[in-house]
Amino acid sequence: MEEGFRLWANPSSPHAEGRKARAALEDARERIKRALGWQGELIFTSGASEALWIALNRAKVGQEPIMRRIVSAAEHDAVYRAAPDATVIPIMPLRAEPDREALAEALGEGGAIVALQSLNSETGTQWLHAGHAHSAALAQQVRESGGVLLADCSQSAGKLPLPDADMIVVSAHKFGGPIGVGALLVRDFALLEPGGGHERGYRQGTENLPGALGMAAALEAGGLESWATGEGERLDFRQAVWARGEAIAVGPQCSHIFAVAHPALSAQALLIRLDAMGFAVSAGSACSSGTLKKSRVLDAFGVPDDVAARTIRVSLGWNTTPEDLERFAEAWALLA
Amino acid sequence: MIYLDYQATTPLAPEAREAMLRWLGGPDSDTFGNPHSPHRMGRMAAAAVEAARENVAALLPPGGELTFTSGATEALNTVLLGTGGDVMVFATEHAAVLDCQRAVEAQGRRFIVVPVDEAGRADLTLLRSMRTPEVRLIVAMAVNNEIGTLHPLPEIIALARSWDARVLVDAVQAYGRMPLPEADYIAISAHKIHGPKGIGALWRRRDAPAPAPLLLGGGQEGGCARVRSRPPCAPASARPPRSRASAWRRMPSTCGCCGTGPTTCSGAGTSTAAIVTVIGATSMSAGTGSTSHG
Repeated sequence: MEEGFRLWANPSSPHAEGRKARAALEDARERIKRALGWQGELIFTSGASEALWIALNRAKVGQEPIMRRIVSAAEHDAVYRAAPDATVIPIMPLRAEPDREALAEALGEGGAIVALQSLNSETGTQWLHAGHAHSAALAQQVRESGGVLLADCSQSAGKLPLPDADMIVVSAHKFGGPIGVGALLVRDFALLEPGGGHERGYRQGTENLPGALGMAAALEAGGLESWATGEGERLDFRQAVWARGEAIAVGPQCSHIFAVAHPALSAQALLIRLDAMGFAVSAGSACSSGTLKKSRVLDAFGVPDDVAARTIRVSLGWNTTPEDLERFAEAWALLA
Repeated sequence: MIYLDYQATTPLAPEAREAMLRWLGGPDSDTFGNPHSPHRMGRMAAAAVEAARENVAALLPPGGELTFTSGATEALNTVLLGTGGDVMVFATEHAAVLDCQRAVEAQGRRFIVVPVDEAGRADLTLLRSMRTPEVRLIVAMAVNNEIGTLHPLPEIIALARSWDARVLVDAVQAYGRMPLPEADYIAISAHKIHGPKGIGALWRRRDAPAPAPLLLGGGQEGGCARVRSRPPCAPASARPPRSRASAWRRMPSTCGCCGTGPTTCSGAGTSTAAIVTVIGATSMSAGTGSTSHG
């Protein structure tokens, strides 16, 4: 970001200073694509919410704009706001994945965009993952009907390989990058209606160069391999916490996000107690937890109301240390 | 290179950078919280956003509400697409306004582009004659980004009031440099006033209807904007750099930023004093969060 603050000219200005900023922006674009292993196009946005909006409102097949939008019942709030008229696919209670028959019915023939998250932000449930059979089957089902698959990878990008999808949404601040920048990855610009004078005609607004450079640097600093080496430790930690409460097991789940219910205390009481003990956790995703209303996601996964009211979310990052995990597990044991 | 393209963007002020750095804390800091998280780190971030909101609002007319956006484009788009009725804009507006034509028309509303006179100013005769009874919004720039022209905003606002229409002022090139009129909505951008790229704001008079959100998701910023409230940028733009005060004071009596001379910027002779006043207000508010305005 330091470099971006030095290269402060407008990347869309034609003078030498502007061209330098432009070159740095293009460099950041290529570095991010390389770090994520993405071969297609990349549009910088102000974050995941804007990327979701562009994808859900400007997707097209051939010359036809896509009018039909399909989302699962466990998506992030931003998805419902970007596509308020979307058909919502329920979650199958036992298999913790979108109801395939309902999906088939909603897809019908051709011309729909389907938004699914790679990882659920409240339970860590994994739907779209490179190399997973159920993920490949979902992608295949969408494509066979002539539809477009949009993967919301806000929670997985930088930690797990990108799934096979036509469009992918990523957010920098979820993988150690700055707040205020994200990206929409598009397999081919033929899938997107242009709109705006920046980012190759697909976005409006002066480019956030420091944000883009911070995003690239964060991805390069992290790396999928080093993240993968902590897998066993994270799973042991989850097991230890689950053992002292009620596991919200809605698998297949990743290792860095999980939910757990306390036997007696409400989520709100837990947040306050843990906050006082020096631990920051949440109930539901942060965006809706500010209001402490009931989690729509837990509801969609069939978690009973009385359990959901005692459920907190624990999520781990690149800089979480084994000592952090140990201390939380001890605190949790004291509470439980 | 001698940079004389401050309309395109401006360098980040050292003060803005300092204000941001605190909220770009590393793994060991407690300043990277999500302002929507209920724990202490989240509440600290939320409090910083609120303090920044007051500081930014100090340079805007009193009695309004400020929503942070990803930039001026989002602020302008939100009002254009989130309010009802026909829209009138001037031919010299920024692309962020003119490019909304298709989307506004897709909502079944008329998008009327009013030509400007030889001096590049809003032609009020044409504004009157091209008006439809359904006009509910007029969009006008405070300072043109290419030629520095100042629209006769008080007259436009008076006309709009008599038509029961609202006025959206694109103040990207004017905010922090000259006093702004009591419009209904004002869009501003941080990187044009030595703040960071990627953040702006929409100001709304308390009695103006809240525009429907762009439906870009999230529910942050009171449900109006979709992007996450962002402490690193917000405090920075909250502090229009005081060190620039002297530079602004040296400006001749033009709009204070375009420097195109007295003809284009006629009527702005008071702006130098106004700018000093504004800077004074900023200096006071930076510490206290006061929203008093010159």
